[in-house]
Amino acid sequence: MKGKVLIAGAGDAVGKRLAADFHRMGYAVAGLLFSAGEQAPPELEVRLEADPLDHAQVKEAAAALGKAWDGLDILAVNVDGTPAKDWKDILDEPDYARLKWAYDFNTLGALRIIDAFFPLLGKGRVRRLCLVTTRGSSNNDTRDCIDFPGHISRAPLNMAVNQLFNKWRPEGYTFRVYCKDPEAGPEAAGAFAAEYFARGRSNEPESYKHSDENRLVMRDWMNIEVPW
Amino acid sequence: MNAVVITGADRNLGLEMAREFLKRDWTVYAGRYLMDLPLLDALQAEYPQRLKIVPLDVSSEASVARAAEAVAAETGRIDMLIHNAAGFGDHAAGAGGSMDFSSFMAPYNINCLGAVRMVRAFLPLMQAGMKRLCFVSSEAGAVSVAHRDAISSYCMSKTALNMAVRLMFNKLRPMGYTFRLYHPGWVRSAKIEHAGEKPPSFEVNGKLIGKFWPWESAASAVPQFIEDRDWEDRLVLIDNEGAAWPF
Ligand SMILES: NC(=O)c1ccc[n+]([C@@H]2O[C@H](COP(=O)([O-])OP(=O)(O)OC[C@H]3O[C@@H](n4cnc5c(N)ncnc54)[C@H](OP(=O)(O)O)[C@@H]3O)[C@@H](O)[C@H]2O)c1
Repeated sequence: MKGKVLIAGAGDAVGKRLAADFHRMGYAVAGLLFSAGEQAPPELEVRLEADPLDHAQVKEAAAALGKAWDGLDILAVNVDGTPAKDWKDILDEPDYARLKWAYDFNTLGALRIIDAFFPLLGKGRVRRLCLVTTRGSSNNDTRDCIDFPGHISRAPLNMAVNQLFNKWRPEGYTFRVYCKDPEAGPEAAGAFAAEYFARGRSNEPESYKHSDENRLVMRDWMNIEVPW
Repeated sequence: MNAVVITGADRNLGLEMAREFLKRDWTVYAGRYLMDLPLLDALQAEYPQRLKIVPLDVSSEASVARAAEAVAAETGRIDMLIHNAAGFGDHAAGAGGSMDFSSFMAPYNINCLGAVRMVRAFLPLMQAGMKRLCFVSSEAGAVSVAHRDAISSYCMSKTALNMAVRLMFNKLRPMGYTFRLYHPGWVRSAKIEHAGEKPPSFEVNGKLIGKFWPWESAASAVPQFIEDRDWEDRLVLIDNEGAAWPF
């Protein structure tokens, strides 16, 4: 067994692809589903369920995983409650409840999961935190004028993960941020993610300026770096 | 005569910007959030004709709509909107099973969604004016230079604000609107004691950092907001010294 991975958000196309790819690579795979209605990928060794809006439920799921496994090597966080674009721009009346929900689910939901499973990650050998997002999270590169819920919930998660990086990279944790292809059908969704999450990155002491492990990088499904 | 609407104008940056616009003969619609803080009243005594105080809570659609109605009752033209109001929220610790996210929604709702509410409500009044939308953001929202090592709801809300401004810019710039995204530098704000609150800590990661400007330095934003640029088609975060920041 290569290691133990939890896919938080194992029920959508990206989660299923991650489960299949990690399983094929020789990892033991646990999956967190966000509702009872979601179908679990067949590769799961441990199936967990929690609503990302509910911190207590998420903590219970982490406790359950702690009973099954004594540690976690890779935590892959794949929380996307807004997969379909909201076509409104600033000239349309916003749905403020939806904008708040998107932040609560996509942003804070991801952080609740990270918070709850982090102690288990600390007991693993690899200690790698991986995030699935989209290029639409980039404040630099966003050329859209629509989809406020998607954009303004994903950008602040990048900030939070950078702050986690600042705190935990010096403690030996490593980080990956992956942008999925929002146009990909079920066949291609999540392509390259497991490969990106599992592989080490150059970390020579000489490459003081740009070790890929010692700066936080966001890459898309083609391995192309996306600016923050 | 030009007219500006400023949110969170009760004190510190908002108040000093209001004063500076008044000195420059602008009419100022000052959003009042702190009803019992008398600083805006004192300023109004100096400028009784041109300082108009408007109750304004940017976290509430109803309050923003009422403020826009009150302004529309007085004028058909607003030249500039400045979203300065902010909620600061918590710096939470860096994960480990004990974080509390219950207070994280408030700064997002004020700092980011407040900007969207204000633009939505005041856009009709801005059609006939200079069409300038200004947002007081912060280096704290710049992801690529994030230096804090605790997850911060304030930083996250400013990142979200920068994204909302980006989306609005992409739509409204081709319609003739111009944008200012502003970092005021490190300003010693909230020295004014109010409702028993303590002045905030200026420490980051346990250290006092940065250059500290007196809150009067906020007035230096005003020329940046007023003057035209020949590069209006780019959205850039600029600070009080004129330096550009990355996102
Ligand atoms: N001071 C700095 O070093 C610094 C650095 C970077 C950026 N900034 C930005 O500069 C701007 C002004 O900050 P400041 O230093 O002058 O701090 P400030 O005195 O706290 O000003 C913000 C004002 O907005 C008010 N406010 C809070 N919620 C509101 C709401 N829902 N509706 C309307 N107003 C509301 C605040 O009242 P309460 O205090 O009662 O909440 C406060 O009076 C903010 O956008 C801040 O993020 C400041």
